[in-house]
Amino acid sequence: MKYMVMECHEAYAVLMDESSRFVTAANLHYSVGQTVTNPVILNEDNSSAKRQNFIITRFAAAAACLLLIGGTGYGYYAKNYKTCSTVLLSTGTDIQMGLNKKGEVISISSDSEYGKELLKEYSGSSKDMLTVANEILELEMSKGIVNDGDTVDLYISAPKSEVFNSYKSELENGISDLKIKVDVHKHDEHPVPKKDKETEINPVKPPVPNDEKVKPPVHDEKTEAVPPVKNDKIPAVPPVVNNDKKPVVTENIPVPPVVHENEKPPVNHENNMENNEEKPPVEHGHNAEKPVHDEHFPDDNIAPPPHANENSDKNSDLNEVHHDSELKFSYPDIHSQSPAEVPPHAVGTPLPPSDTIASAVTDSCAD
Amino acid sequence: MNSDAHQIIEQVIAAKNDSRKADELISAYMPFIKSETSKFLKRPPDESDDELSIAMFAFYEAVRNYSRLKGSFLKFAALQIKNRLIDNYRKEKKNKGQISLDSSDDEKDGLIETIQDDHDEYSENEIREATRNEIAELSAQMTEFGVSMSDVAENSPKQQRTLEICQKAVRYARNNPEILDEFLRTKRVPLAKLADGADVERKSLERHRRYLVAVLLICTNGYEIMRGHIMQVLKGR
Repeated sequence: MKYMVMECHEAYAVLMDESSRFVTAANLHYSVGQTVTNPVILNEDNSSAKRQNFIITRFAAAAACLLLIGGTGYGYYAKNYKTCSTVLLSTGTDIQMGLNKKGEVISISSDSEYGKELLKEYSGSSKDMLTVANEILELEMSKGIVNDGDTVDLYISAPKSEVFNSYKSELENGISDLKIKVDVHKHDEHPVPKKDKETEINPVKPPVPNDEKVKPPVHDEKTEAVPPVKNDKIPAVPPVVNNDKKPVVTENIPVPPVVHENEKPPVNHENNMENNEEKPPVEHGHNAEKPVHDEHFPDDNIAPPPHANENSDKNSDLNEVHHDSELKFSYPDIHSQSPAEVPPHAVGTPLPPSDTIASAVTDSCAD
Repeated sequence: MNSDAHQIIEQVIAAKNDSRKADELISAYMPFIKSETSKFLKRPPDESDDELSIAMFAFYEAVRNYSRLKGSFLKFAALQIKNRLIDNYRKEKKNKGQISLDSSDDEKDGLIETIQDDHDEYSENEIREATRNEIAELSAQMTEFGVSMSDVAENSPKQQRTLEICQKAVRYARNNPEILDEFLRTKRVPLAKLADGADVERKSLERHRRYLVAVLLICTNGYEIMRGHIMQVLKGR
């Protein structure tokens, strides 16, 4: 390209090229009218600035578009795909539904193995909450997890109370077609589930009372006996004899013995017992074994109860020694022991009233 | 110090749109320009050195492109001078190893004297003289239209698409002498007729009115040398 020098200045020159374009170039000792080639043409900084502005404008526009798309996308996602509320069906499967802002079910899950197996057969996508709840409950009824007349607890977690109330009324009214009762609660009221494998696999069912399961406690004769309390101050008290041969229920409160006609009430030795510092523990229970009658009769030094002389047959009753089977205590052989060594009170044996025994002893002695 | 900086900035802003003030500013700061050139050359520059011309041109370029946001003008100008000198050095590096025609060993006759030259220098000088006269006449006529060569250079279309639009309009005017007569008579560019006749956008012609003044004047009688220079354009090739 040839350039014609049109005008010369001290620092620059105006050139015209063969395409009639006028340019400003460095005056490299040019003269007007000269034809030159390869001039040093002026760089307009405005063009680079415009180019930068153009690039910046393009990037800003692209960023604005991305922001707009991102904001719109997030808004659509928050409205349709973000979990805003949850509904938990507190049956054995513990199936939880995730709801979006519009109340549509977007996720169904369960922490229990049984629930996961159940969900394999069911898909609740693009359905509303009430439809999914009804279908899941129907499925559970068909599986036998929920029966007619059962009460199903539903726990709702919602961001606002208005939403909770809306869901609550919808569920209470919508599930009424099924023959089950629905109790809707807030999710805060949901008890913390036991993370036990057995509860996850097997649905929780109310316990069934069964007599076979309850076994009476076994009396072990080999258990160690509770050492008796020795107290020399308290005299030996004969065991209480019950002519009715009925088992005596031993309790912490001493029970007075049965007083027949023409009999004096036995002596109450409770005051004497107060001197005892130690008392063996008394254990009682509704499954307690029936008292065992010991055939070993106490020594003759010990006065028999007043009614013993009236009926000789009743002497066998004197052999009855009542004690609690659960107590680890065995009566010592009083025949081999001196009267002082005989324990004043057998554990579990009900103490007759002190006045009745005292009067019985006195009367017997008087006889 | 601040007052000097403000003064320089005011002079620069004034020289942006006035070529005469730009020349005065360059002349005033010639020592600065020489100083920056000597830093690059590692020697005092000579008046015949292209580097000094390049530096002066870079200073003029800094005046044209300076804005207050760019900080100190002298620092900006020094950077522009340095960049231009580096670019020129890289460009001239390709010609390394070549001997200047003016150089000689014995300093009596340059190499140019020993080389046979078939060119007719006399005729070339005549042509150059005639061209110079045409250009001078053109500049004078352009002054009547209120246009200078610097204005034309500034107003000349930069993009190829816009240049083609203007060339199309000029060709239409050249093929319709009545338009050129009207142009010379009214001292105004008939933009509407040119836009309609050449079937181009009038806005593009309006943006480059001063350029069209210069080119349309070249198309009138008396400027054969310049017309011959841009004949390719006038013929539409």
